[in-house]
Amino acid sequence: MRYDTVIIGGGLAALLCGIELVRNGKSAAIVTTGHSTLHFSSGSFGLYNGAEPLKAVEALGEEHPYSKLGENIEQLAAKATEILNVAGVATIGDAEANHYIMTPTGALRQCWLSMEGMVTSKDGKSLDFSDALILCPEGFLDFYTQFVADSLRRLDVEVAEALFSLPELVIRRNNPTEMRSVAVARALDKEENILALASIISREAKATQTVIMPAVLGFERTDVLSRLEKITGKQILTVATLPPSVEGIKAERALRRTFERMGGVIFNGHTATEYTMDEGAVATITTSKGVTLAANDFVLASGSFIGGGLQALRSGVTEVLFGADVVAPEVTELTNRELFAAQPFMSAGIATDAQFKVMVAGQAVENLYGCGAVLAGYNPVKEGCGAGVAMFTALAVAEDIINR
Amino acid sequence: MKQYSEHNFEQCTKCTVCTVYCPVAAVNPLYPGPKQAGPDGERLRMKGGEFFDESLNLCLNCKRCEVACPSDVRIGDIIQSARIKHSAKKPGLREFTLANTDLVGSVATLVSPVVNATLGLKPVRHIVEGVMNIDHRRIFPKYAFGTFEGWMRKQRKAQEQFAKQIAYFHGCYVNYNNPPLGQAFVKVLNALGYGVQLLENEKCCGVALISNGFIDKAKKQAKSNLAAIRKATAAGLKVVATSSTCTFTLRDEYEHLLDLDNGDVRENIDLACRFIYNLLCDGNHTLQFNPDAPRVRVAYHSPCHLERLGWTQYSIELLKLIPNVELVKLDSQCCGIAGTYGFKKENYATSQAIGESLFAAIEASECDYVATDCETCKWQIEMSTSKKVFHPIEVLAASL
Repeated sequence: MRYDTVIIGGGLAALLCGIELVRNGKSAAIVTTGHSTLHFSSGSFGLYNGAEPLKAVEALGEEHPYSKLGENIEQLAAKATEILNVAGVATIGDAEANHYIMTPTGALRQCWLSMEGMVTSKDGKSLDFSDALILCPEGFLDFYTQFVADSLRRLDVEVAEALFSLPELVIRRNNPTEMRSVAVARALDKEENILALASIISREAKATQTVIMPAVLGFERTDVLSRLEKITGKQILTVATLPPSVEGIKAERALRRTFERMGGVIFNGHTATEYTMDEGAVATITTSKGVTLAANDFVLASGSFIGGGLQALRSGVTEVLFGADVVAPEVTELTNRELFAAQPFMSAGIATDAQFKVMVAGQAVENLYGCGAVLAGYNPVKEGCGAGVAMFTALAVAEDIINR
Repeated sequence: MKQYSEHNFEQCTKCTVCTVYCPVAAVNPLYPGPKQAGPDGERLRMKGGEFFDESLNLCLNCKRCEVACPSDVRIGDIIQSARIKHSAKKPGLREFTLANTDLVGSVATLVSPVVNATLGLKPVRHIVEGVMNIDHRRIFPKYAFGTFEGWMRKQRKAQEQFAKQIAYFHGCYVNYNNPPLGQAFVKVLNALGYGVQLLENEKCCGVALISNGFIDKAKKQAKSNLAAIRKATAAGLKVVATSSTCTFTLRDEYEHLLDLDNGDVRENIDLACRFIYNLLCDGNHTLQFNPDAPRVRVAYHSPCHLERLGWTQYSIELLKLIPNVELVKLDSQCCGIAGTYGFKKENYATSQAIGESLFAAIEASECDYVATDCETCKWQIEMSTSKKVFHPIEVLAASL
């Protein structure tokens, strides 16, 4: 099978790149081993830490992927936001100034975009409500009411706590370790359970206007939060849970559907395992399922270690498919013993030229681009820029392919 | 090719993505989901069979967990292997009848008008439910009068005229229920310049035997099929099947669940849509389409085992090549029947709940009919929607 572009990887970078290509009239296929790390994302997107992320990135060194984007970052940020919104991922926030989002442990962290309906703060010091009820499903393992309550109290919010259950969730607790976010969210896709929860909210939240819940409000349905608000007359806000994250899954699903509806093809459950070259360019890749795909351009968006794009061996860090040139610390220097310090392995990745063309044996391959977490030169956790790098490099690559 | 050890479950990172995409866990809160039933439980079952949980029988073996897994864990295989090894549930008359598709089929095709009429009667279906625990709402596939193999025997001379030949694994469904699909396959292959042969003494692939616990019989039939496939392979013939589940069973389940080495012939077993699409792309083969064929809007449904094979795109691309077809691709999801699973009374509600959103999508698609590569998906969709269902090869044959 032949496409204009074949994208290896299925995460945020791959999907943004794919959508941008197909909506500009190119055919594109995504090859992905399984579902992506969006399943572990919290529903927020970071551009760069600091009060003003666009200003902060100006000072970055040339090893950083952002430095290759130069003055385009603001425009790329606008385009990325637009694509998320077109896909149905409603967000708040802008690139001029970060806001803060509450994490599953109750901490407030800077971010650029967050999905609508979550607990956020403009300045990290105050919230726009003064009292709240935290309402959590009984037996739910991946949300820590006490952490969230402590954090809210530090911000001068008066907090009440309550648990709730539904008959379906009682049955789920037969397997206590599987009482997870998706199980609760699925239960809340059902109208009868929404109505039952609404009456619990009305009963438990008599004294307050704001109800905070783990982000489990509907799996297929996107209107559960607004339905609950409408029935109860309360403001409902959510805080991300530990993985699997319903918000992240919803984002992946929305982006995948958008890509497919626009004509993109997803080879799900396929790992790219082989490739052929023709006169210095990639000609085909073959997947673990015996499918050979030809294309004019190839995009390597296979992620870092967790995504499967990079591998740390005793002999060093390698890129799995093409054996691309890697920029990485020595094996003995990959980790820092201080757990919360910047971990050097995080900035390992492949070397690319100014247009993000992948370097193999010191040469840029003319039709092979890299984008997202497989790239070297940045630390997504420490810098809070994982989503921004994924989306902006993906869009820059797509632009280059479209303009060729 | 990756090597899998019995410790494959250790590749699991506990990310729970499999459970997110499990169609059973989504609708049945009694099922713990593939992560716990598979790799988590396996850790314990290695200590002893007393850790086996009968809820694993709720798994419908769709393998969507394996397609979703980012860490290449063979979750579905782990669950099915545990059932084979540890389940205390012994198969009964119902399992025997559902699993022995070839035995039942060979009897039923002899007297098919009687069987079809009888099984169509509501009171009879209630009796079947009472005696066999097969849900009375389930509609049985109709049996053909005379088998596909019988028809093929009359074709032999004509098929031998073609310079190029393939061997066709038709499966029980084509043989006993739907010979016209087999005939459509022969028509298309002939149009491409290929003669079609039968395998020597084809047996049921055994998928229903495996899922109903008749492992010894499944192994026996599998060995017989592998011998026939080896013989065809040695004679230079590709072995092609129309059924996605037969193909999947021959290629993957024989090795993974029955522990039979099929490595020497695995790559020679192909799916009809993939085989034909690849022929049409090689530059040496073309099909003459009938310019007067009426325009049809066709919704394509991706069967689970075809998803696991990774080959749904071949069926889709093949349908796209047909000039009179306007294709609607349905979101890939399980239809809920999973072979014989949905026939069982205790699974009926789960089966229909899983398929509910697919049925709604089909009705909303405003298609003339549905196309899919799997016969049991066809039964489920025809029973649960207002649409008829055809195999892509039938759609193709009708356009020539």
